[in-house]
Amino acid sequence: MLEIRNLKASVEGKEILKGINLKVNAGEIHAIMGPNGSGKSTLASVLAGKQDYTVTDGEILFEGKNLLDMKIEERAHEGIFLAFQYPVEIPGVSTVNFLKTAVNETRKAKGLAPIEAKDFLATMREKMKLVEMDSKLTSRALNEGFSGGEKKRNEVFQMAMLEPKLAILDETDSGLDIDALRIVAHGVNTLRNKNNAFIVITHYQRLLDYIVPDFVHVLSDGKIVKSGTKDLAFELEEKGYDWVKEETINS
Amino acid sequence: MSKQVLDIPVLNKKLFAQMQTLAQNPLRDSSWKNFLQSGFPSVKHEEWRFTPLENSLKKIQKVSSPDFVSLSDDAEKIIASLEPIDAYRIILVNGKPISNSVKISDEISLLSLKEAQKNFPEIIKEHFGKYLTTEKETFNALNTALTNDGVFIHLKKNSQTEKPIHIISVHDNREEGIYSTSRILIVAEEGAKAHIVETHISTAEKFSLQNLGAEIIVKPNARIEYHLIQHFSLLGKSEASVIDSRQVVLEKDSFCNFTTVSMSGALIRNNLHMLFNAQNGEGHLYGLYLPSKNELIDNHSLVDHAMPNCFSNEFYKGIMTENGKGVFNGKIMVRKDAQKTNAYQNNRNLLLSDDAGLNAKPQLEIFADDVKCSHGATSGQLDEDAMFYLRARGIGEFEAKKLLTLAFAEDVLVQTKHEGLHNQIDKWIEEKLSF
Ligand SMILES: Nc1ncnc2c1ncn2[C@@H]1O[C@H](COP(=O)(O)OP(=O)(O)OP(=O)(O)O)[C@@H](O)[C@H]1O
Ligand SMILES: [Mg+2]
Repeated sequence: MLEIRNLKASVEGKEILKGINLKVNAGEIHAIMGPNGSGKSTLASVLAGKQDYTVTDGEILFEGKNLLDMKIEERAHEGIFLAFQYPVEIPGVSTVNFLKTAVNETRKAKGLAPIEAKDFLATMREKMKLVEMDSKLTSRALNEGFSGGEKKRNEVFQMAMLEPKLAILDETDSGLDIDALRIVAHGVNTLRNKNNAFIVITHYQRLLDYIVPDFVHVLSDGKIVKSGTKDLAFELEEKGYDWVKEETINS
Repeated sequence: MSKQVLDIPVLNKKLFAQMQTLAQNPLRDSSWKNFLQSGFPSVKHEEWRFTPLENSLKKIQKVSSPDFVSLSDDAEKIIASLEPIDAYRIILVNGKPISNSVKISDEISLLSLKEAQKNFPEIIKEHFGKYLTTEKETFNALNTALTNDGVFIHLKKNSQTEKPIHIISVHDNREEGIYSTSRILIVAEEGAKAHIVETHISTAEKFSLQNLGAEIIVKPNARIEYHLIQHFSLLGKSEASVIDSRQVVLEKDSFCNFTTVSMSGALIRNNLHMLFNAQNGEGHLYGLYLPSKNELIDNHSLVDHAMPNCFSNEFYKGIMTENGKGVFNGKIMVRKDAQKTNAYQNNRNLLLSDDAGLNAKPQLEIFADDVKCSHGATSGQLDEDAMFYLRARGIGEFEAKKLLTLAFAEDVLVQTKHEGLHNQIDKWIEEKLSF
């Protein structure tokens, strides 16, 4: 589904991603861990199409198509979804209106007519239930004044509404209490099927108890320095990142 | 003071001599004298620096005739669709009401100023021309000197309207270069309450200029919600222009929320003055302006705190597209006696094109010491992170800009407090945006 080859990206002349290789197949869940500032969110942003970053080398194929040629919204229409580490507050835009626009713009791109109001409401109700999202939140302006945890839950709710092929969750677990964490994980596990895939960026092994990954990668200083199964996460939890870094230097 | 930069042949002594004006002497003569003395301001005049009038004034060819000719079907249709539809409506063409009066109730009168001069001579005498100063204010002087009709609204003590009052002012610019005068006088007696909407549209594409003067008197405990809407290009790109000078006078414990939405017009100049004439008044001034191609919208406001313990809040937002120009000049005056004044002002602007322009000038003049005042002005583009967020959810660039722009306008538009009107303006903004 996704193939990243030797991806290098920089911002303001500073190289952040220094040759990333990653292959994600349909049905898989990949976890990416790594120290602060190692480039995890940068990778996620480059996948979603943020223009602040300049790709200096490498390529990204999504279902065989060149992702880097696509506009931000086109990537979303193709089925890429980024759950932001820091969701933006947008005063004056109601959550419901925003979601309806997002759904309809995606439908338009696929040549479909706008969704019927009652179908939209029914889907919304169903997905809100899935992530136990309070209707008080959806009636407010998008993320405005939401607590950290509410924002994260809203990201998962949007993911459920848009049903992407590839969802990238950037630290969706940070700031969540234990109940919320379970709900979010339940959402992901419910949406998971053999046709979609997830990249889960996290600092905590704990999340991976709930969302069990097929692969775990360690990103350090702009490179994937180690890949393994979920056991790698335990090892990291125990030994910290220095252990991986040393190992890389030694090898 | 600047010298007269232009001599407009049609605005001459003969015209003045012929006019059956509402103003009586000595006001009538002194107004004309003041007009001749001040003349039209050039951009050298401090208050007109960013608003050149010369090209507009040159286009004036004719003073609007008092006889009403019927409107086109298109114009009629637009008028019928204007929100609030369920309202007491009075329609003006080039400043003159097409009916003498509109029945509301025994307590509330809505009629032409000409008619009011017969029915309410004392009230007219007491208030007409008392607040719109003609000294050094050329357009006020010219307006007062030539006005022979307009709208009069009187609300008796403790009266209330069930529906909004809607003044629909049609600028008939099917002929090139029409100059018209319009005048409004509103007196809300003690404890009265009203919601008034005033909508200006034009009927064609040609240049016209209206000089509008309005006096709104809000007596003790009275409450006025006022929405002024200017949308001259509603029927297609129009060169209709207006110079709108208003004085709102707030008496003791009174309230006024004045919202100005300037959707389109070749040249719009709003001089909105709010005077706190007694204690405990509360005044809000909201504004939204959207100059686009070849349009200039200038909001010059004065919030005059002459008395203690009053509260004012001014919040204006501008959305500039293409080569549209916005001007915001907001002055807060806190006079020596006006202790315990709370006065706030905020002006925010969105520049959606490189060619768009904005001049913002907040001014505070404070002569009392125990006051709370603040002001701020910002201008910028759409928030990039917000754009990215919306687009990452599949919302195309155009739609995303539209959503964010409407969101920007939203906190002024909630002030319309009328769903139909709010939706109509949202729709107009969407129609107007072209990125
Ligand atoms: N727009 C930018 N301008 C300048 N530097 C940037 C920008 N974006 C990212 N960086 C830098 O790139 C590096 C990688 O940042 P990134 O956000 O990808 O890290 P991360 O792995 O997600 O970290 P964390 O675990 O703290 O979220 C950091 O040093 C950061 O300061
Ligand atoms: Mg990060």
